[in-house]
Amino acid sequence: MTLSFKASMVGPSRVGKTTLLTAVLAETESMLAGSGISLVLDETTEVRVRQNRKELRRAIESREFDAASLRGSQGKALYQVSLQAFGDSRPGIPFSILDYPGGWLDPAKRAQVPQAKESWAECERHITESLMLLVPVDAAVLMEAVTPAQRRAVADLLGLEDVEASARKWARARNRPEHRDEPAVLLLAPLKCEKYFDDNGGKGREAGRLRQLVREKYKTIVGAVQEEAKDRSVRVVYSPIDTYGCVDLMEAEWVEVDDDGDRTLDFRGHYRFREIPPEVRPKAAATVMRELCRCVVSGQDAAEQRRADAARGVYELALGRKLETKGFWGALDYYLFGEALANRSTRLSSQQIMADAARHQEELTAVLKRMAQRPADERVEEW
Amino acid sequence: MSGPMRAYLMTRGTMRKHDYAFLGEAPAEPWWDALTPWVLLESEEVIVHRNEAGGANLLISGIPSRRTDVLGTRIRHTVVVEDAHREHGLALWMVRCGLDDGERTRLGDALDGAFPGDLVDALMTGAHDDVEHRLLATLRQAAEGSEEDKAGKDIPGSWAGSVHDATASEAFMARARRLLAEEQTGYAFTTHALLTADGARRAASSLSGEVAALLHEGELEVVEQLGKARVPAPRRDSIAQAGTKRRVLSALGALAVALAVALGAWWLIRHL
Ligand SMILES: Nc1nc2c(ncn2[C@@H]2O[C@H](COP(=O)(O)OP(=O)(O)OP(=O)(O)O)[C@@H](O)[C@H]2O)c(=O)[nH]1
Ligand SMILES: [Mg+2]
Repeated sequence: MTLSFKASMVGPSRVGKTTLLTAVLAETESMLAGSGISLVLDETTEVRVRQNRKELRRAIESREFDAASLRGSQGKALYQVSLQAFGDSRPGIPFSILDYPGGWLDPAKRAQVPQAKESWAECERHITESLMLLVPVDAAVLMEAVTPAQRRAVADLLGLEDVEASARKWARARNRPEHRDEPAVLLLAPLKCEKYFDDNGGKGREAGRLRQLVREKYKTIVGAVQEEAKDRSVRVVYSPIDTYGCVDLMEAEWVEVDDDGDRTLDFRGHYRFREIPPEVRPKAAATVMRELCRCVVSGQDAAEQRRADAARGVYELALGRKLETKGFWGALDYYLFGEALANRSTRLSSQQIMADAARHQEELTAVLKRMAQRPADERVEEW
Repeated sequence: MSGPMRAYLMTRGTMRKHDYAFLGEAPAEPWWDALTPWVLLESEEVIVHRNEAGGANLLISGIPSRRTDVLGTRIRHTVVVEDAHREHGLALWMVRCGLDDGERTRLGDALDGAFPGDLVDALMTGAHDDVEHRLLATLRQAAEGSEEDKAGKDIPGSWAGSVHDATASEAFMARARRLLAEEQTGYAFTTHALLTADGARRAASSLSGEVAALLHEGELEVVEQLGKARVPAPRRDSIAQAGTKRRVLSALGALAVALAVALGAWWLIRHL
C-alpha cells in the first residue's frame, strides 16, 4: 500500500457512500479555488468521479428528481487524490478514501461474492489504517419511521450491527501502541437530510430531532469506539451533509418485504426539486476534508516534537524511502517534512531546486493549515 | 484442466441489504480479480481471459435489468462463464453483447425473463434453485439465431484502442475469438476506467500474457502498442500463422537438441 493519509466509510448498501465521496471531492475543489493548490485525482479516481458526476447530474436533469440515479457499487474502489501546486509534478499531499459495496459489511453477503474475500481483507487493512472513520447515516430512514413496525426496521436498514463491528475494529487498531499517537476522528454524517434544515434553501425545523435520534441510535457505536480506544482520545464529529441540497423529501414510502419468511419494511423516499431549474448546493460536505487536514496538521505538530529529539535520517536511505510502508508518521515525514523533496534533491542536487522545494513545501503546509482552520459549518458539532 | 462450460449470475435484489452477489453458486476463484483495478464493473464491460493451464473464461458486466431496487435504482446483471471455449458460438455472441448495446439489452431481457424479481429476492434469502441450469438454458436460447460476426483481423501483440474505432473493435472480436480458440493466452477487455494509452500500459504490465484493451473513455485516436514482450508475428492469417509458428519453433527446438548432442559427443571423444 502506498504512503498516504487514509479515510474509510462504513455504511450499508444504498446509504449514500459514493454520493458523499463525490460531493466531498467537489467541495474540496471549490474550497481550494484561488489558492494556487489544486486537487489532483489519479486516473482511475478521475474516471470514477467523472462517471459518478454524470449519474448525479442525470438525477437533476430530468423534470423529476431521480433519487436513485447512482448505480450501486460492485467492488472496492480507492479514491486517490492529492493536494498539489498548479502545474507541479512534485509530490503533493496524498489522501486515499475507501469506498466499497455496502453489502460487504455483512459477512454472510461477502461469502456470496468470491472477489470480496481478498478485497475485504484489503478494505479492513485500509480501515484500520484510517485516520478518519466516516459513518454515513440515512437520515430519512431515521426520521420518517413513526409506527412501531417502521421503528423496528430502522436498526436493520441502517446496518447498525455491521457498522458497530467495523467501528470497533477501527477503534481497536487506533488504540494499538503504534497508532496511539496518531489523530483519530469518527465522523457521523447524516445524509438525505435536506428536509430537516432551514439553512440551505429549505424550511425544515427538525435539526434538533435529527441530532437527538442520531445520538440515540448511534450511542452504542460511539460507546463501542470509546471503549476500544481506551488509551487514547477519539474526536467524534457530527456533521449532517446535503449532497444535493436542492431537493425535499415529499413522501416517505414504507414497502413491505419478505426477509426469509419474516415480513419486514424497507424505505423509499420520493423527492421534489425546490426550484426549477435545480442547482446543486452541497452543504457541510467540506467537513470531511477539513477534518482530514486537521488530522494531518495536528499530527505534524506532534511530529515536530518527536523530531526535536531524534536525529535526521541518513541520505543513502533516500532512494529506497518512497517504497517503505511507514504508516501515518512515515507519510508525514515523507510528504510534509521535506523527505519527498530531499529525495529528489539529493538526486538532482541543486541549490536552486532545494530552495524551490522548501518554498513548495511551505505552500502546501500553509494550504493544509488554512483548510484545517476554516470555520466549521454551523451544522457541525463535536460530541 | 477444463471441464464443461460453467455459468454464474451476479445481480442484486430489491431490499437494500440484498446487495450485489452471485445467485446460487459463485465461481470458485475470482479469476478476473487481476483486472478489477483497471475496469469499472459497475459499467458495461466484457473480459475474456485464457491462461496457460485452463480454458477460456468470460465476464460481462453492466447488463441492464428492468428490475429496480427499493430506492428505484436500475439493477444490473453480471454474467461469468468459465470454460467458455466449450461453446464457441455462444461465447462469441456474449462477447458481442459486451460491445453492442442492443445485444446487451436483449441479453438483459432474457435474464429478466428467466430470473424475475420474486425469484431473485427468494434466492437472495436462501431459497434453492438450479440457477446454473436455468442460466445456461437462457444463454443458449438467447444466443440462438444471433448473427455470426464477420471475421475481422487481430492486431498482434498487446495493444489498446478506442471502442469508437472500427478497426480496434474488429481486432478485439478477433482477439476474443483467438483466446476462445486457445490460440493465445492473455486478456481481452473493454474498460471505462482507463483514459489513456499510458493507463492501458500500466494495466498491461500488471497482467500476465498479451493484452487487448478497448477503451470507452478518453481520446485514444489510433491503436497503440502496449510494448509488452512478445514474439513478433507480422503474418496475415493469424490462425495459420499460429500453427506455422509452432512448427518453426519446434523445428528450432529439435535443431538445438541435435546440436547439443553433437557437441556433447565431440567433447567426450576429445576427452576420453
Ligand atoms: N436526496 C438525497 N439523496 C441522496 C443523498 N445521498 C445519496 N442520495 C441518493 O441515494 C442513492 C444511493 O447512493 P449511493 O451513493 O449510490 O449509495 P452507496 O452507499 O454508495 O450504495 P452502495 O454502493 O450500494 O453501497 C443515490 O442514487 C443518491 O441519489 C442525499 O444527501 N440526499
Ligand atoms: Mg456505492
